[in-house]
Amino acid sequence: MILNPFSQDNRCREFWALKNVSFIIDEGDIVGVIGRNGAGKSTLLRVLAGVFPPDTGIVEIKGKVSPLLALGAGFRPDLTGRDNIYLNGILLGLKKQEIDAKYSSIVEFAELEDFIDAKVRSYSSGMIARLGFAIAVSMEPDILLIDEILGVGDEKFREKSRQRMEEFMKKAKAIVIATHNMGFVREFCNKAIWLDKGQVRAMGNPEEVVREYLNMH
Amino acid sequence: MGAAKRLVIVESAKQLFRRFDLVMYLVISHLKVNYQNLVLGYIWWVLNPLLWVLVYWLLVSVIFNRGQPNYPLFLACAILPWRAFATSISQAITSVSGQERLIKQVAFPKSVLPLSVVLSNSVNLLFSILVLIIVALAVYRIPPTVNLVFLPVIVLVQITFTLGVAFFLAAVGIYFVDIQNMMQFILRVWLYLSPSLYGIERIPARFRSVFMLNPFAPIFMSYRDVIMYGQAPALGPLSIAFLIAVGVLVLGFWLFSRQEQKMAKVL
Repeated sequence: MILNPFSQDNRCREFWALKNVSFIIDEGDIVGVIGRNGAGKSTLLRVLAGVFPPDTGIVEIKGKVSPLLALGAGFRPDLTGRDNIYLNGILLGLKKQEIDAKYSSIVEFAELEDFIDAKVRSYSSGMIARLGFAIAVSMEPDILLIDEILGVGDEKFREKSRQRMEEFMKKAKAIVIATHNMGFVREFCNKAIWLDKGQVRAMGNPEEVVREYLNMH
Repeated sequence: MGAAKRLVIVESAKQLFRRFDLVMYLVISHLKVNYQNLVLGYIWWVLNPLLWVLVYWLLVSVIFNRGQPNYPLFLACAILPWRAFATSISQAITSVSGQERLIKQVAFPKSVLPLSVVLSNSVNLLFSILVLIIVALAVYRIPPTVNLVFLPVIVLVQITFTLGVAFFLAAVGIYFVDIQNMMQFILRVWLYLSPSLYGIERIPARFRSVFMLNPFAPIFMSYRDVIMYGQAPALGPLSIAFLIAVGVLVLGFWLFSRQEQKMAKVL
């Protein structure tokens, strides 16, 4: 399963958010995308998610891509957790029967058994994040895209998320994560990309890329 | 350029059909969110037009003494369907611009947004038509006739037209937020220029053909023909309204699909 964009540019209002970004991602890769705010990390993830079609260049993805919706962006506060699971699941491309099958494991992973029938507007941000993560991961995507979320939830949940991500890796999937957490990149990623003002400043071994990035600041 | 044009609209339409389950869930969510309890929700939805019926009846029939026979029913046969149209397009304007966060996170055919708005209001429309038939029988002693079978046709014309306008306005609404205010006014004038408060006989003969170009002229008249007078609607004008509706739908959807790619960036 290869993710293969060449010369991918992406323009927002005559501003090129990404320029000449080219890379290949293979099965089993955990790619950390680092860079300052505004460097284009989120834009890159969005291009991979299909949210922005590239203005020039190609994005070739083999497999199902699932974005991690930041803090439940797809959630309707006036609906219950249950309704939102279905709505979000269908939004992410699952069929109703698939959601039925995964429903209890989603609720269990998010630890929301007692709250699932309450309206989401009563949830804490931690609960929303857990639910969002649980739904995205249950989709069993081939490629998981994460935009700086992994700081949410308590220690126990973070541990669970980490475990789930590791299971992910074993299934020969890929993860692309945009983050400021250099420790995470060093520890978990096997590839790193440093984006600076929309261009690739460095790419390759996480240890080296992180070092270069830190040397610049 | 022509071939590329056609491709976008076809691609968009195909994507829309592929994700129809998403449309259904959005419709249900829409009905649930706006109206926690579906029945109570419908009551709120129908209260507004009923109040207007009361006002117009008082004004036109009682004070000006110019009302048609069975004026409240006469009014309701136009005001209730109009409510579905007006609410659909008002909600359609912000259907895309209001979902900025979502659109920037997940790839999905944005056309599901205005479509689900129109469909959920159409559910209320269908309910209202049922209510009209029951009221016609219970209050005005007008028995239902076999011509009620034309109702799906009239509803189809209305929904087709509404969808076209909805797609168009949803696309425009991303760029011009003010269009909401304008539409309030335009809709009110449009209602008054349609045979809603009065019958078509009031329009001078020389203006009548222009007047009939407004799809709601044959639509309102057809609802009344079928529900109040137990006759078949005039199929000529209704067919023309349908052709206009289809034209508006194609145009509206085409415009929307052209903008669809850019929406995530522009919001």
